[in-house]
Amino acid sequence: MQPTIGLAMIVHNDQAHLVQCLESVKSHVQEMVIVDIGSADETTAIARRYTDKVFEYSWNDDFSAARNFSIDQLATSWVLVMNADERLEGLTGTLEALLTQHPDTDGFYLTICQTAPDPETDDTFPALRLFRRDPAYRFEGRVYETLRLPEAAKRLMVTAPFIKRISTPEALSRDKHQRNLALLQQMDTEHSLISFAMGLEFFQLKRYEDALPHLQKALNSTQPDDGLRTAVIRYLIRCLNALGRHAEAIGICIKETKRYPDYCDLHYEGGVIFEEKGEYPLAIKWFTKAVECQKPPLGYFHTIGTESFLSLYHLGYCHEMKKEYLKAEENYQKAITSNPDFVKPLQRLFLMKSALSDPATVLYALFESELIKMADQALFLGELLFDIGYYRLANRCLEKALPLSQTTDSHRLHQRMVRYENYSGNPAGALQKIDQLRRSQPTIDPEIAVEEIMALMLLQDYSAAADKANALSGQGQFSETALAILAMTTLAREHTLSGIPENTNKAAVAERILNIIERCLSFIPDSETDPDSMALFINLASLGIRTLTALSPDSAAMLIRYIDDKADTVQNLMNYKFNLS
Amino acid sequence: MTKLSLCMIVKDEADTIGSCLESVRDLVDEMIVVDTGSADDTPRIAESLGAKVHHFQWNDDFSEARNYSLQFAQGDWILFLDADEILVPQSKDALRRGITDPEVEGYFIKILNQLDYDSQQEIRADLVFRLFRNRKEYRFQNAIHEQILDSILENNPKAVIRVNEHITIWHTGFREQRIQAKDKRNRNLRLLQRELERNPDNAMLRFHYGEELFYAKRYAEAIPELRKASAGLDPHTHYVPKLLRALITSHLMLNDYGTAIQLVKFGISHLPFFADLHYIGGLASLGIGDYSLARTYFNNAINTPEQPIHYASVNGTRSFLSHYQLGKIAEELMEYDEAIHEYTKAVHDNPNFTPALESLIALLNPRRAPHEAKAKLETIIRDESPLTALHIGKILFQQSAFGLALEYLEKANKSREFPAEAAIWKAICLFQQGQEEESMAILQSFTQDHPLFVNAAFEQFLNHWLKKDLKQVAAFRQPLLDSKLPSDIKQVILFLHQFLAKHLSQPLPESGETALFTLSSSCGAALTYIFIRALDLSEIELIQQLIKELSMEQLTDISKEIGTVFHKYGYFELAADFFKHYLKKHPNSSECYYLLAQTHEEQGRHLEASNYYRLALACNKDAHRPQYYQALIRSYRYLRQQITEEAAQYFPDHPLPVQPSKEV
Repeated sequence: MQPTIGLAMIVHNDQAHLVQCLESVKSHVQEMVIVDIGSADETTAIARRYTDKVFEYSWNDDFSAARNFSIDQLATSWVLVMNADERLEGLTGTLEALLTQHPDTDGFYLTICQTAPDPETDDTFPALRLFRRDPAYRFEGRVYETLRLPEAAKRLMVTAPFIKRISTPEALSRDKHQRNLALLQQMDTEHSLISFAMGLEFFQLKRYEDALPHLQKALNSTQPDDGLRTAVIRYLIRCLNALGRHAEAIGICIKETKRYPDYCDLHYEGGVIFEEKGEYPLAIKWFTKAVECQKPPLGYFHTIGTESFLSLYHLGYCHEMKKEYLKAEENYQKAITSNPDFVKPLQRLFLMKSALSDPATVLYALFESELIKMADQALFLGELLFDIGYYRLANRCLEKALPLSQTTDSHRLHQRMVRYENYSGNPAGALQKIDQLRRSQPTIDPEIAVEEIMALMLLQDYSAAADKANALSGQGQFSETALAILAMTTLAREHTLSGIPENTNKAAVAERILNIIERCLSFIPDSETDPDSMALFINLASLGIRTLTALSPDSAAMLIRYIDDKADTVQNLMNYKFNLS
Repeated sequence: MTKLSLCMIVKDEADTIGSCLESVRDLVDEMIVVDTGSADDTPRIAESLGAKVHHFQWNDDFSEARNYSLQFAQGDWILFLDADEILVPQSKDALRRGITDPEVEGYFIKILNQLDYDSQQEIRADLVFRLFRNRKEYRFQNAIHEQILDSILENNPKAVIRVNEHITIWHTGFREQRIQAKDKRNRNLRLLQRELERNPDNAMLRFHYGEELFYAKRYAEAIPELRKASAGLDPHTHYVPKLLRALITSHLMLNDYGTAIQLVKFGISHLPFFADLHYIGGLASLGIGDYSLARTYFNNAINTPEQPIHYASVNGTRSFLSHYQLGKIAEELMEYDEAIHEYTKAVHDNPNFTPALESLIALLNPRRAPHEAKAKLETIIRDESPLTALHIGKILFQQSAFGLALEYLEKANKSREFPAEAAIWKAICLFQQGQEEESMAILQSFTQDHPLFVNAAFEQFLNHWLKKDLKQVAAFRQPLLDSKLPSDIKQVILFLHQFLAKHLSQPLPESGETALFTLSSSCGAALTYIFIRALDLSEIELIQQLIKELSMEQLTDISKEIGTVFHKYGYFELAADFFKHYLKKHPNSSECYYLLAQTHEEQGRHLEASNYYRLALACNKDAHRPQYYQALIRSYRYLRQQITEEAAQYFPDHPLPVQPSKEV
């Protein structure tokens, strides 16, 4: 008999995420049961678009009860449990195929992948989410509910599919954690899972002092072969680090690596602590071990990349700090190759090598190497270069990105291209590009409209710029930019700002003008730059300065502060570089 | 009466042997000269001065040759000199007295080594063992860096050896321009290598080898030898200071500043009062841009006590060299009063140290403010002698301060030893000051056989050109074209002639001569010089017309220099054009951005100035100087002042602070 799979969910005020969750599973399950424990928003309505089996459930502070109820409503032979803030991913083929591949298995552990906030990394840990629908298989525990399978039941950990959990902003999750804590405190706090859960909830609330004893209790009461233990260790280390108790954190790393010699995450954590303390040789030892280890067994709480790109990145960093630039480069390159989406090593590699030679040389060398394979990498470099004033080089990055990008992304690329073209000292070229874009898309995006105005300003065509700015002035976040332009064009044409409406938000306008000035004064020419293009930027900056001076006493003061800050920065740089007091 | 024998070994020293023998002739009782194979007149010159000349077959062994000379000596005492040394006359009394002291067996005496090293003249004092009693047991050892002291002490352990600094030898043999010096160096290296193969554990030999490599500028090879020689060495060994200096300076010359500083620290821990270490530490600190540390080191060097002679300290590390460096640092940090103060000290310590004098004079702005410069100069340099006036006059001339230069050159002219080239400078100054006839008179006094005839002719040509006297220009053209001037300078002359003709709407000279030519880069210096002369006479239109006749492409490589000239004379727009042109080909020239920024700053355009100062810093990380940073900060301050004043006009009731909240 063919197995049938049913989704069993409990939901509560989940309108934000529910759709993407259901979309990700709908083609993989034959049935959906959604139990709403009392939403005040559109959750139920959304649920009903996907299934008839939507149940209102009166909440009684018991997650297990709710889950078991949801399972009981299914008619399928198998159950898939998910939450609204999760997506099913990584499935090639069908879930049924998975089941027929492992006919003896009664319950599958899927990997949950969730992004930890600080630093932004992806943690993975197993959860029993796909199992036979059997009256003996019941959830237990009012919160942190666990599925109890009989001893004889066969379990299997699989890598595909996996569940991606979307991270919730802190503010919204606070209530959830408070509620969980309240429930946990009513349960058997001696139990290792409950201790861990309490520690975890306090941790999420950033109450590290409170979290610590629970995590320590959990560590002492979990068995070494209990997969949960690795999660406990990781959070305990994080907690100690947050409290600044690094020595103890290291102590745990050292102790537990004896028990789990192949647990790369521990080597990684140790490396991070030593790196923070500036003990680079030691950090290098630990990170190297992490890379040697490779991925830990399934079931360990594992942060993706600790066996590869994360540790490689840190190795690069440590070598860089030791001025061992060749080794740094080697490791950064490996990190980039291992995960092109992770831009930190690319950034550090670029900056490090630019400091030793110059950005243009480094950029072209990077392009020659095989490291830049994805459009996003090129775009990232482009933004980096743009920020430090190398507008033409930024443009080159875009040219590199274009063939690598998906067609849907090309719009974003063109937008950037226009911007960079402008600031490369070629506003006429930017206007041409915009005209080209107009032919395929008559109404251009406001971001591009802004660039059009900037190009006109650089070309000193103030009346055209003013016209376009007027058209833009109604549009939300761009209205202040538009007003800033209008202020500048007014001063240029009428030599006075007396026409500006009194209720204008002068502070916001002033800020925009200051941004424009900063952009103009960041330009770095190269051998292909027409030296007269420098004059375009100076003129615009000069107009901006005159406008700010005339706009209001506050804007003039803001401008003065800006200049003073620049002078101070230069002073500090000089003192540092030449060791002057 | 104690008798004194001079013993020498010589080979091909015809140009110096005479002075050497003359310096001791009336002091010694006999002069024994052993010639090891001269191809020149050396033996004959020696004989003619009364020396007994013997011949010896050179066998690559200095001791052998010297010992050969000893056997002929009949005096009670022996003095050894080399042919490129002389005994300083003031030493004679001390020497006579020294050899009459019954207790002493031998003396270390002072030697002053004059080196021309890296186009600087250095004088290094040292101690050498050259004066000792004549006993047959005492014989030289070692094929190179031969020693007799060991032999004396072996034979006579209780021998009293003294240091007598009142006996001084002056050694000019290290002058690089003498080709022989190079050959000697190679010969020494060869001998040392051979001796080292025989005695690889001889640390002193290895030290000498390393030092010789150092003087041969083979720094990468010198370093391992010196290091090896120093391994396990007692820090009190007499050549340790020299070893350290050679080793550390080698690292410095290879731009390995980090190691140099490390070694300086190490050296100072053992020899805290060795001035040269502190001085080199200062140079290495400058190499890494640590101005504060550099200042500390140079000040330490100045405060070291008088150096023991065996340190062989370079003359000036405790005085003018360090003051000069401190002056340069101050100048870089734009602390001009401090810079003048330090340069003044350097000049007082050593009036012949030209770099300090040049820097000092430049800071006094002699071209634009000659009266103040002269007043200041007179308080600093009290010496009224013609020689000093010549020295100052030359520097002023080189800095295009023609008016003030003329005053000093005329003072110098009072001496009979006024050199011919100085006469030409004076003529140029006279012309620039409007005294054309006197100028011409001097230049015309150079006859065809005079070695400087061509230079004088060229200056006459230029004078006439500046006066736009086409006929005379044409007259002077031919002798110059016929002379041995380089061909590209001749092209400049042709070009100037043609240009003048065109400028005066006169017919061009003989047909067959095409208008323009390609300006080689070496013409740049000539052109720049002509521009300076013309602009000093305010002939701006002439020069502008001239530039029009040249294509910008030709001028690219020298556009920075030309721009600098225009800037110096206040033609800022023109200067800016040339700087911008230079930047097209050299977009990483921090210096050019800096100069360009200055042209804007002079015209009160502080936004542009600050932008270009910023670019000076942004375009080339290796070229950073405190001056660039200072200039940028100053520019920002000016800019904010302008804005403050303008804002005050718009909003008189809301005055903005004139000074920034944080003082620099």
